[in-house]
Order: sequence, then C-alpha cells, then structure tokens
Amino acid sequence: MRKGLIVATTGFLALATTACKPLDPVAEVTELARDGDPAAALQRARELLDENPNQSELQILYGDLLVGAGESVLAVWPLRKAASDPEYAVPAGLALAKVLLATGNADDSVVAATEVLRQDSENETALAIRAKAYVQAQREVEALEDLDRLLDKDPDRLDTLVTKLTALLELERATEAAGVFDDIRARLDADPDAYEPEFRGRMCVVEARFTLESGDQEGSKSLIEACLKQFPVDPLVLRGAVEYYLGAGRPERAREILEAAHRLAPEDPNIRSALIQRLEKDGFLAEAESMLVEAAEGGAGSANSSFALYDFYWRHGRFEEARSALEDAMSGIEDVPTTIALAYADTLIEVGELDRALDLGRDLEPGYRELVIGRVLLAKGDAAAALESFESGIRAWPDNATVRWLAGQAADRLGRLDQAAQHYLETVRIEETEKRPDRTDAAWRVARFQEAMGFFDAALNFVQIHILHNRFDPEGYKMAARLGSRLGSQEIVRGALLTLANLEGQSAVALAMQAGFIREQAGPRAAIDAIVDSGLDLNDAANIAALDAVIEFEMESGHRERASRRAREALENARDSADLHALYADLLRRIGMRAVAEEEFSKAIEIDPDNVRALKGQARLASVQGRIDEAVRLFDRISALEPASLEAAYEAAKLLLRDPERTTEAEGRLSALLVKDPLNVAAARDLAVLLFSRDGPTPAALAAATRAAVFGDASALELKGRIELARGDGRSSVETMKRAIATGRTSGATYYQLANALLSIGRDSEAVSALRSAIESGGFEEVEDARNLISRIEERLEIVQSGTGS
Amino acid sequence: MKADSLRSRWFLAVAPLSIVILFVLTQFDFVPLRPGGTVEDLTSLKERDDVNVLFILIDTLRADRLSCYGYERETSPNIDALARNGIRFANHRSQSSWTKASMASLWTSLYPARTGVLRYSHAIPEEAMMPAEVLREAGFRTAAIWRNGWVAPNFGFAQGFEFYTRPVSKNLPREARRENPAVKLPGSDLDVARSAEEFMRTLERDERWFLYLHLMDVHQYVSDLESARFGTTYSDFYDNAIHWTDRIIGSIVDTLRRRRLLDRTIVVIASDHGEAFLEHGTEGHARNVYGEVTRTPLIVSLPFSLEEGIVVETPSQNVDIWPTLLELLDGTPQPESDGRSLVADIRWAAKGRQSTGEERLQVSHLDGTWGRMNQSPYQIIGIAKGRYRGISNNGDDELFELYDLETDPDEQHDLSDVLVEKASEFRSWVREYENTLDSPWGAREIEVDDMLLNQLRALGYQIE
Repeated sequence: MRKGLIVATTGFLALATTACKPLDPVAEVTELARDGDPAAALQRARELLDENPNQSELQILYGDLLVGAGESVLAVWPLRKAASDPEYAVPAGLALAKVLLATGNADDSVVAATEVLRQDSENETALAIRAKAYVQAQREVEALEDLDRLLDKDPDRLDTLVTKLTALLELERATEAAGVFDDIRARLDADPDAYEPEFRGRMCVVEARFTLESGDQEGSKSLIEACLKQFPVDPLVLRGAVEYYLGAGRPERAREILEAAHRLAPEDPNIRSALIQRLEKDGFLAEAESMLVEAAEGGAGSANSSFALYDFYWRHGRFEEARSALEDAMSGIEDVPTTIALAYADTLIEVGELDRALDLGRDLEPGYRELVIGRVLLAKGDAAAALESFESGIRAWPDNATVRWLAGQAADRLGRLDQAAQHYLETVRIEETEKRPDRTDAAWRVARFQEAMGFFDAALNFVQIHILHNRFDPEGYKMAARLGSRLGSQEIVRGALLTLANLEGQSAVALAMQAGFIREQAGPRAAIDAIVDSGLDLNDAANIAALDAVIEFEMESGHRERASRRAREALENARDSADLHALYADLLRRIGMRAVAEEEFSKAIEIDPDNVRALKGQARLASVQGRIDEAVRLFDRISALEPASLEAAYEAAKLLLRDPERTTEAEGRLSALLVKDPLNVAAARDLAVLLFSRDGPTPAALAAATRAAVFGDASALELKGRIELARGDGRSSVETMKRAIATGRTSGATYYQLANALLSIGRDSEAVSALRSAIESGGFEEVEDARNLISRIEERLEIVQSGTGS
Repeated sequence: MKADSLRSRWFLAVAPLSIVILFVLTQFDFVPLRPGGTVEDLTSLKERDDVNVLFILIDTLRADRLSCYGYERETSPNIDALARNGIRFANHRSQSSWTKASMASLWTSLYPARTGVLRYSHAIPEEAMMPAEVLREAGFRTAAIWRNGWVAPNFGFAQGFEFYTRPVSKNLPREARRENPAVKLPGSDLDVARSAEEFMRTLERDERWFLYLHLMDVHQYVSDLESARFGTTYSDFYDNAIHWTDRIIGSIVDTLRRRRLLDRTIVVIASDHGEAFLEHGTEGHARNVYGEVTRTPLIVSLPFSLEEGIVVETPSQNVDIWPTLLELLDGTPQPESDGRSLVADIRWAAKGRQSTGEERLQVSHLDGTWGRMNQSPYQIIGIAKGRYRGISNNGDDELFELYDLETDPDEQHDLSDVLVEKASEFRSWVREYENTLDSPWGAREIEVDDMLLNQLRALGYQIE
C-alpha cells in the first residue's frame, strides 16, 4: 500500500515535470554523461531508444557511450541503425567501421567503410579504416589499392606508408616493400626531428630485420650495430638487437648490449629487468641476484624490484629469502592484489608457517582461497579436508592445473586412486592445451595408474606425453617399451628401446629389457644369445645391466656355474669395480655361499662405501641371518643415497613388520611410503594386514585394504572382504569376495569367506553353494567346519520349507 | 496564456487519474506474459502478421543432459519452463555430429549427402534456399549473432541474413571460468544475449524479425560458481556449462518479457550435435554418429502458453525444423526438403496419441576424415527406424553395426552378427541413402585461409 502511494506520488511528480519542460534526448543523455555518470547516461539512452529507435543522433551517441564503457561489441547495433539513416550514414558508418575493426570483424568493417565511400567517395577516414580492415582480413591486395589512393592525396602520411609496408611484406613483394621502406627512410633522414624517437628506432630495427630476411647477414649485423649506436637505450632497438644475437647463437653479445644500455640508463627498470633475465639465463646467478638486491634496496620502483627478487628466490627454491623479499614488496602496498596475496600464502606454506597461511587464505576470493586452504590442510596431514577444499576451488577455477594436481595429491593420500587419476588426467588436459613450460608430473602419474589397471592403450598415450616433456627420463621409455610389449607392438618396443639406448648410460639397460621381452617369447637361452650376439662387452662394468640380465637368465636355465663364470670373468677385468664385486657377491648369496658373499660385499664397500648394490646385498644377507636392526639401517642408508627409489624404504618397512615390538614404526614407514608412492599396493596390503591384525576392522584398516585392492589383486580383495565382514558390512563383503573369485586366482578360502558373508545377510542357499565350491577347491583349513555348516544350513532350510506347508 | 491554462486544467484532470492507475498497477506484478492457448491456436499463427522467430542454437547440447528430457540433475530450469508450456520433441536427432555438416542440413532441410557439406572446405552454395531468405522475402528483419567459426559467412551460412555478426569480446566475465582448456574462443554467450537485446532495441514495434543465436558456452564448458554445482569431473563441468547457458536463456526470455515480445515470438531451442564422454571410447564430438552425439533436443515455445506441454514421441530430425516453422508461419516452403512438417505430429500428440503410419527414418551422417585434406572420405552413416539403428562405417560390411534401441539405448551391444537379416535391411537403406540421393547443387569448395583455420583449431578441432 505504502509502496503504491510512493510510486503514485513519484509518478505524479514525473508527469508534472515532463508536462512542463520538453527535453532534447541527445542533450539529456549528453548532460548525464558530462555529469560523470555514464551508467545513468546509458540507461537513459536505452529508455529513450526503446520508446523510439528512429533517433539516429541518439543512436550514435548511445554507440559512443557503449564504446566508452568498453562495450564495443554492443555498439555495432545502434551504429548500424544510425547508419541506415541517409542523413547520418557517413558519421555513423565511420563509427561503425571503426568499432567493427576494433572488435576483430574485419570483413564487416570493410563493408561498413565501403558503404561510407558510396556516400562520400573521397572520405579519407573511410579509406584509411578500410585499408586497415583489409590488412586485418588478410586481403592485402585490396588494402594496397586504398593505401595508394590515400597516398595520392597526401604522400606524407607516414602511418599509411607503414601500413603499406606491412601489406607488401605479407604479400612477400620484397622489392616493392624495399621501395616503400626507402621512402620512409628518406623522410626520416630529411627531417629526423619531425618524428618521434620511438618511431625512428622502430624503423631502424625494421630495416635491419628486412636486410636479414633478404639474406644479407653481415649487412643486417652492421645495421643493428648502427641502430644501437644511434638509439642505445631504445627498447625496440634493444629487443631487436638482443633477438638478433640470440638467433645468431651469440648470447654473450646480447648480454654486452644490455650491460651497455644499463650503464647508460641505470634507472630504466625495463633495461635492468632484461639484463637480469639474460644474466640468469646465462648462468650468472650471483650477478643477477646482486642487481636484484640493489634494485630492491633502491628508491623509486623498488617495490617492483622486490617482486622480481622474490620471483628469483622462489624459482631457485630459496623460500625464506623469497618471503623476506615479498614482505618488503608488500609493505608499500595498501591493497594487496590477489595474485600477490596468493604468492605470499604459497611462500608461507613453503617455510612452514601454516597457520599464518591459513589466515591469509581465508581472506582471498573463491578459487584462490580454496587453493591456499587446501595446501595448508594437506601440509598438516588432513587430506580429506584438503580434497574438499580443492574440489571447491576447482568449481571456481576449473582450468587451473595446480589445484587439479593438488586435488590428485590429496586423493592419493586417501587411497582414492581412481579419483586421483581423474584429477591428474584433467591436469594433463589443461597443461597440454596451455603448452606450459613448467609442468607437473601428472602425465606420468596417470600413465602409471593406467598401466597398473591394465589399460595399456590409455597408459601409452600418457607416457608419450610424459616423454615429450621429459626426454631424458629413462623410466618413460622403459614404460613405453613394456606397454608396447603388452599391446603386441614391436614397433613401439623397438622405438622406445632405441631411444633409451641412446640416453647416457642406458644402452645396456635397453639391451637387458629387450632380452627380457625375448625371454618371454622364446625362453632364457634365446635372451642370452640376444645379449651376447649384440657384441656388447659384458666385462665392462658400464654394461652391468646387461651382465645382470645374462646371469639371471643363466640361473633360470639352471646353469649356475655358467652364471658364476661370467661374473668372475667380468670381475677379473675390473677388480676396482664396486658394482661388479657386489654383483658377484649377490650371485654367491643366491647360491648359498654366504660367507664368501659377505667378503665380496665388504670388498665392494671398501672400494665405494656408498655403493647401493653392495649395501642392498649386505642388507639382504643380514635380513636372512636375522640381523634385522642392521638390515634396516642398511636399507635406510640406501634410501638416503637414492631418495627417488623407494624399494629400500619398502624393504625396511617389511623387515620391521616381523618384529611385534616394532609394528608402530612399521606402520609409520608404510604410511610415509604410500604418501610418496600411492600406487604401491603391496605396501598398502601389508599395512592393511598389520592394522587388521593389531587393531581389528578399523576404518584405517579398511582404507588400506581398499587401496590395496584397487587394481584387482585377488588376495587384497579377499582381505578387504574379510575386513568388511568383520565390520558388519556383509553386503559389501559379498561383492568384494565375488570380485576376488572372478580373478580366477583364489582358493577355497575365498569361497569360505564368501559363504560367511552370505550367511551374515541371510542368503543361506547361496552360502551353501559357496561352501560346496570351497570344499571342491580345497586349500583352506576350515574344511570340516564348512561341511558342518552345510549340514546345519540344509537342515534349517528343510525345516523352513516343511513349516510353510508346501 | 490561454494554452497554458488549458494545459493546466487538462493536467489537473489527468494527473489524479494517473496516480490512481499507477497505484493500482503497483499492487500487482503486472509484467506482460503470454496468453494461454491450445494446440488449436497453432492455426492462428498463420493469420498473424506480428509473430517473430527467435531461434536459439545451443552448440554441443545433448538431449539427455536436460532435466526436461529426464536427466536426474536440474541442469536446465529455464529451458524446462519453455518445454513445460510448449512443445518438446522427445525422440529427436541431428543430421551429423559436426557443426558445419549439421547446420547445413538444419538450414537447408536436406540430408548431408544432399547438402554436399561434408568436409571442412565445403560451403553451402548460393543456390540453396535458406529460411532466412524466405523470411526476409516475407518482410522479416533477419539477424544472426553467432560464435562458431564453422557457420562463418564464407561457408555460405549468412545467406538471407541482413546482419550476420560475431560478437568478439576479449575476455570472459570475471566470475566465469572455462573448463575446456582445448577451446580458446574469446568472450561468452553473455555477449550474444546482450547483443540480442541491442538488436531488438533498434527495431520498431511493428517490425517482424527472425533472430538466430548460436551459443557456444556449452561447447566451451563455461560456468561460474553459481552454476558449478554438479561436481568436478569433465562430465560434471559439461553439466555446469548447461546450467550456465540455461541461465543465459532465462535472461533472453526475460528480455522478451520486458520488451513485451513474449506473446508474439516463437522461441525454438535446438542443437547441432551432442557430446561424448567415453561411451564409445571417445570424448567430444565429430568422430562418429552414436547416440550421445546425435540425440539432440528440440523445444518450441509458442506466443501462447499451453496449459500442458505437448510431448511428441514420433521420431523427428533437425531437417524437419524449418518445414514445421514455415508451415506455422504460412511461409513459402523450401523448394527441396528431406524433412517434413511436424505440425500434424504435434496435433496428434496433443490428443495423447502419436502419429501412426510408416515409421520414419532418422539419418545421421559424418565424413570421418572431414578435417584431413589428404585423406579420402570415410562415410559414417547412421539410420534409425523403429527400434533399431544401423551404423555403416564407410560401407564395409564387416564393420556394420546394429543396435536395438529399446533394450540397448546406449548402443553398447552390436547385434549385426545376431540379427543378420535386420542388419542386411539396414545396410540396404544406407546404400539407398548414399546412392539415390542427389545433391541439388553438388559440393562447393572454398579456400579456407590460415586465419580462419587457426580460429577453428582454437575451438579444439584437429584440422590438418
């Protein structure tokens, strides 16, 4: 009611006002715009045009306002409307042609400009716009006609000459282009002061580039040097000169040029920045850092220099220094932009100030906020909350590769391997399209997951992406070869192994892999022949991988003596090779000569105390002999020497599992291992067994078992099924046991467990069936119990049936 | 003075009345809507001279991701509203899974083998009679606001349009994000919606218009926080993009409502193809003709609101759209057409029955090497009739596929070796389609310049 009265009164007042004073729409809107309220001007223009669209002058004004408001895309409509009015065809048409050109609609701009020229054939503005539109539309021939018309009217139009030069270069009409350039240069030479220095510098560089493209290297070089002499601190000249010398393979000259420019203009931030980048790229890190520090401590522009310094430290992993630099940079800024706040939060996380980072993150806008909070939560070990945060962030920022990758990390920690793989896959999709130079390892992770799942085709796609960006990583080629073998593609296997062989130190590895594939097809003898026939010197310690393979195949064929002889021969040839001593020692260990093996391992360690092969052998010996502490210590040493290789870490954890007093330590090690290697399902299985036996069917035990079972391993599935049953989840247990049975690699025990699960959910007759299968399969202890169960159930079922009176 | 005093007296008389009227109006939500109507009112459209046509083409939209087509997620409340009081074609297909071939068929009402537009360098020739030409001839103002390079003017799609404009704004709105990183198309469909209103603003009230809007945000997987409500997988983001686009459709309908055009505009929602999510091992579209990339929506909202929406179950195709619309508007039919008017099917459906008679074919056709200059054509042709659908792969009998759509709507179990006779029957229809159909004008090739090629590659297509 009250609203109605207010509106009515307002309406009355409005009516009263309009009845007294007729308004010129254009004047009204212009006034609003002049009053500094463009939004109101636009709104009023819309209202007026909605009443009557046939107000051409107002349409032009409206179009102008839209352009001014950054809405050029919308401005075409009122301008088109105005241009259809003969009285306004020219001004509206010109405005329309300009807007269409600015919004990338070159062909439409040509049409609009042509329409103006139909009305006014000598309109130079229309000609100029149309010429530019033709160039933009790659219709250079037509552009030249217009450009020549303009030059006929005024030969001194420098911008027209430059456009003509561009068009001729696009058409590869080099001679004519040279003529135009000469014309431009003549004007510059005649009256250099009439032209801006930037323009003269630009033309200088253009001439040099021109000369280079015509094949005259020396001429181009002379011109570059002349430009530098004339315009030593001009940014375009400097850029052109630096590019030239980098292209000529002379980075040192490029650096000299920048150093000279910096000496002449020490306060120029762009020159300083270019020089610092050059120094860094050329490996002069200390000099680059020194310049950055000096600039950051300086006066004007020091905030930007502090940011540059922060960037430098961040790139080189010096996070504490990065934080200081960023704090210096931020100290002068009142309203810190989001990207900088994000960078600061990242830095705080890297230096371990998680709570501060969290506080900062909470104030950021969506997308950024979840990224920071998620990172903090992940660092604090709360993977579930981190994943939730990252997934929120993904909704706000779906094409952010970093947040996707981090979501994958969080999912990995939770054992949700397929979810992790999905996030990594999306990361790869984004990185591939954006062609980022700094990539994550997402492609590798997806490839490993797909390989483990048996999706070899898909895995191959991803490992190829990994290889493309990691050309010197042997693991990529090894996986490609494995996948090629699985897919039956000799071409892929050959290609991968050939490339692997060409990597430094990998020729023997490649040969050994190839032999491995031959062994699968044709047996160990054929594999040995392949290696021997290759001509590779097996007595050279550098080829130990191939010798290893030969020894392995000899042992497999039962030729221990031959294996031993090969090892001894190699050792005779290189008594100072710790690796060969270790190889021989390992062989001795395998054939039971432990005492001699110990001696050989000791010799290897004497030569090289950090020899991983020898340490591993000693650790295994110690383990077999029950010296668990010693074995664990040795494996830990190997982990420290080769942090990327997780095999030793797993070995150590497994040893600790044997000691009931050290299961907590084993648990910690297995959990840490799974963070680094989420796909280590064997470790997950061991962890599940430990937790189940020690703590019962806890959520942690189930999570570990679920992770262990993700690739369909029968024993892992059976374990998961037992834990589910123990948790009272019979239904899930039944499904899991059936999956285990479907692998075809189970025994009667699995059927027995299935029967128990079926009984728990009242599916008695199916349980009987499962029990019978268990007995038939054998291989489990509770056979008598199974038989008794069958009798009891069948008795119960008979009672039930007779009870129903059928 | 006398004039002033007269005016003054007039004013004193009128002003109080105005106050009263204003007061009354504010007590109600008086926003002009549409009147109610029934299927019988379809005939009245022919007699009217004020009906506009708003044709909204949502690129890459598959029917089964819309709530009104049974999707369990609420992706499309605004589109659903149009269907609820309009006409929805439940069993509808596009003629290809690639925009250019599909749109050429949609506009000409001819199958791809007849349009001759099957490869990237093909264009619709001048001889084609496009709906925009028919309507322009009939006095409509005709405009198109498009964003997909495959319907660019040099491919012959601008024929009949007075204005054929691509709004090229530099950035997405700040709040929106683009999930599909393979696509680098600038701007968003918000530019299209706002441009549409600007177009309408230039027209006088009695000017009839035909406006074609080609939306691309589903193709680009654009969403903002509000529409990103369905999860974070690639497929979830497709749903998010549908929700975002649906909101834009809502804003366009709002524009019609505010401009008091809802009761004089036919709104059509259609799509050129769907999108695959590994149902047959591929993602995206333009690779094959399975259902996920050819089952598209068709919704027609009339200048009057049907109390109960009409659902047409009879199979229909994109080539039927313009024969139907031209019949409704009493427009000159296109001289050649492989489609037919669905007006009779609409009437049957309104009575709760589906039209009887011979089962219709639904044809979808893709040249599998459309983007590879140096490779020979590879014709993938799908023909659905009744419960079965056959797919021919370049005429190779060994590779022919047959699906029972009733028991296997997702086309996962090929029955060509089991239902041998049925497969043979469908193969013969494919041959008939290929051999007996003649293009009225033959294929027209154009040179595609590097700039356009790069723009098309920026959409994520591989063109070699």
